[in-house]
This record gives sequence, structure tokens and C-alpha cells, in this order.
Amino acid sequence: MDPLIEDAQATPLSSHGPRRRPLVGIAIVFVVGIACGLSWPKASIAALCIGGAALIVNVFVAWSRTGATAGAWTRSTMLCACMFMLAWASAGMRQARSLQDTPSWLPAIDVRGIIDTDPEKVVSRRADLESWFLRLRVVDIRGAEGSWQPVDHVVNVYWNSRVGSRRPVYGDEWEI
Amino acid sequence: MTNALATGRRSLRIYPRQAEYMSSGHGSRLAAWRYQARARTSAQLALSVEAFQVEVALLQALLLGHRARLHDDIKDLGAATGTLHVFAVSGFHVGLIAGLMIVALGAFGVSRVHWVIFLAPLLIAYTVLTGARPSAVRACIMAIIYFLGPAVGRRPDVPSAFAAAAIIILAWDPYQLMDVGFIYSFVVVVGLVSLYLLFFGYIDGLWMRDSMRPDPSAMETTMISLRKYVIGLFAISCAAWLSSAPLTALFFGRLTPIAILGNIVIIPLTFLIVLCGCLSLVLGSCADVIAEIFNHACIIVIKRFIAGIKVISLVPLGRIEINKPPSGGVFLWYTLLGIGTAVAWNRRFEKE
Repeated sequence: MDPLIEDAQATPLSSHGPRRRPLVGIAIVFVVGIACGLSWPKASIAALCIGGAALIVNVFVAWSRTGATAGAWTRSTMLCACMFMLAWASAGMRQARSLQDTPSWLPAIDVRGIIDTDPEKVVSRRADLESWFLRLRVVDIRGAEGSWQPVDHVVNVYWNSRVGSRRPVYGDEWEI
Repeated sequence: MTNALATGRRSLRIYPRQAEYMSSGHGSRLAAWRYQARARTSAQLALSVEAFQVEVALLQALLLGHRARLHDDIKDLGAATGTLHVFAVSGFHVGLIAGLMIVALGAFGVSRVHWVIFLAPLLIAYTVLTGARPSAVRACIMAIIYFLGPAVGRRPDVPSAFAAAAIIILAWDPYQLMDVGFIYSFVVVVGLVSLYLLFFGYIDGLWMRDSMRPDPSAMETTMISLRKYVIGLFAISCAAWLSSAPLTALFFGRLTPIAILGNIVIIPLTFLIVLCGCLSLVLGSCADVIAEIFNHACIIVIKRFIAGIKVISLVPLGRIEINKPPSGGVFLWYTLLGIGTAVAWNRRFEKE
């Protein structure tokens, strides 16, 4: 059994009661931010606007409260707003860059790539072939015009080679 | 080759004469070391049991994440019984390794405050060695943060460790949010954390009413421990199934109610296999003969494991193929499950 679960089982129930778990709330805000960033990558500016609006609301709410409660409220909402904006902006920028890169695949005729994982031997249906599954990091592509262009993409490859021929190894460069 | 690329596909199939070797030594040294270590450990697990190809492939998949080596028959049996998750290195395996390590640390009298010093490097090495799958990474980060608590004077807390793991993984790679393995891993852990204790308390309470005595004999104490263990397995299995069933329906278009029974049978056997495999790797590094003994023990348990899932797969209606439900339906399921769980916890606290 998972030791974390065993531990939870061993702890008295009263200690499982409501308790402060600030990380859980922050994680939820962060996940929502990431989801927004991946869904609307070019709207990272919107994340900043929402975060800014949250800060303004926060200031007003804090104003209406007094003492230690106001400080805690201000700190926690500011933190959540920052995490949300950070997550949205980070995921949005990566997604936008990825979308920009994708069309460079389309004209490829030949590729050069480096084997990026340990090739996994898989069961071959033919006795004269050995089959491998691996990931290939493509570093150059050649289109119909004949010139090589540098790229950086990863593809999954099912690799069949004759028994006794050179087997694919991590770090090898191949032209396909 | 490249018609595949021209159509924009990200998966290629290569046949002899299509590939031309150019040079070697381009990868990172750390990764090369990792793959060499994985090959060495795989070879050690196969020592003197090479003839049992199916069983050795299963052992290597269970312990080292060589899932591609699994035979199709075994994969089909796993899918039919809802136990495919044990064939991939996941949070369950990382938890087992952490549990075994804790037993060893306890035997040497190491204080809980210092566990993280020994656990963290071992768990990181194991996770990297086995391919750093999302669920294993999640479990590794969770375990390290959880056991870091006592070291820094804080009470360990599963939900907080879980939340920290989610933030770290998504900050590193936001695309994990779309990964089926990541979604499964996190949803199932939320289900286990929120439902396990509820189910366990409820089922155990049914027995407690009749079996509570002031001075139980040694036999009764053993039976109570055994009963708690079985109830614990059943509660975990139910919690995992309830939280993962909508995702299985959504992604794969099937329901496997037999998984509740399957996990109760398979998880203890998997524990034995991982235990024997770990002993083969750790003690077997001193002498080959020790590795051979534990490898043979593994093969015996794996044969029972395969026989077990074969029998379970024969149960009618164990696996039901369905049309994939709409995302809204899945969302509704989790909303209702969340509300029901919150109400149940609330009632329980009121009783306390």
C-alpha cells in the first residue's frame, strides 16, 4: 500500500479536519492560468488585464476591512493574481511559439535526426526484422528544392532493421 | 520516408534501406549513463531466467518501465481487467519503492526527520531511470515534499504536497496539462485522497459493530489486521475506479467494473514482484547467485499474476465497450462526486 495513504490512515481523523492549505488554492489558480494560456495563447495581455483588475478589486476590499484580516486578504489575492498571470503568460508564450514553428514540417522530403531516447525493442512480426520504438530529434530537413534547413522537432519512430544490421542507439545521427 | 512528414504526421515507420547511419555520440552524457544503467539492470533481472520471455518482459515493464517489451496478450489481459496501470511505472511503483526504503530506514533506526535525505536521491534516480513518466514524476515530487515536511519542522500534508507537485510539473512543462497520463495521475490521486478514508471508515464500521471485544486473542488480532488490509485494498480500488472510470470512458470508450476486483488480486502480487525485483537488483549486485534466486522467485509470482488476470478476464461484463461520453457528462460526474464527497466529509466531522 502507498505509504502516504497508510500514513493518512494512521493519523487520527480529527487531524484531517479543515486546516489551512494555501498551496491547494494556489495550484488551482495556476492550473486555470495554464489552461487559459494553452487555449488562448495570443491573449496573454488579457491575463495581465484580469490580474490588474483583480489587484484593483483587492485594494478596494482591503480598504473596507481593518486589521490583520485586510493584510492577509491583500497578500493572498495578490499572490493568486500573480500566479494566474504568470501561468497564463508562460503557457501562452510557449503555445504561440509552438504554433509558429509547426508549418516548417510540411515541405520535408528527407530528414537528419538524432536518436533521443533509448530504443525500446518491440515484438517483431517478421523473423528477419528487428523492431524498435524510439524518439528522433529532427535537426535538419530537406525539401523538394534540395537544400538542408535546420529545425528542432521530435517524432516517434517505429524502426525496423534487418537482424544483424546496425541497431539504433541513443545519440546516433541518422539520415532518413 | 518522408511522405509521412509531408502529411504533417508526428509518427514514422521506418524499414530497412530507408535509414543511413551518419555518426554517433550526440546525446547528453547523463542520458547515456541512464540508458546504460537501465540496460544493466534489465540484464540483471533476466539473469538465469532468459527462457521465460513473457514473464521477464513483464518483470522489466513492472520494475523498469520497459512497457514496449510486453507481449500483446498480456497487454490485452491488462486492458480487459482494468489493471493495465500496474504495467507502467507510476505513482504506485514509486510509493512501493519509498515504502520499502522506509522499512529499511526504520530497521536502521533512522529518524523520520532524516528520511528525506536518503529517500530523495533514491526516488529521483528511480524516476529518471524508469523514463520519468508523468505519474512517476508526480509521485516522486509529492513524496519528496511530503517527507521534507518533518525535516523543516512542518507537519507533512498530502494535499499540499500534491498541489506543489502540480505547480512544479506544469511550470516545467505546461503541455502536461493535455497529457492523458498527467490527467489520470492527478485525478486518481484526488479521488484516493478524498474518498479512501471515507470508504475505509464506512466499510470497517460495518464490521466493528459486531467484532469489537475488550480483550481480543492473538488470532483475533491477526484476523482484524488481515480484515483491515483487505478492506483497505477494496477501499483504494473503489476510490480509484470511481475517480478514473469517467476518464477511461472519455478517452478509451470503455468501462471496466472488474477493475475493482482485479486490483484487489493484482496489487498484492505486484507488491511481491516489485519486492523480489528490488532485492534482486540491490542484493544481486553483490553476487549473481542472489540475483538468480530472486529472479526465479519473481518468475513464480509472475506466473500466478498472469494466471490471476486470466481468470479475472473471464468474468462476464467485466469490460464493457461504450460510446465515448460527452465532456459535459464527465464534468457532471465529477461535480456530483465532489458534492457527494464534501457532504459525506461534513457529516463525518459533525459526528466526530
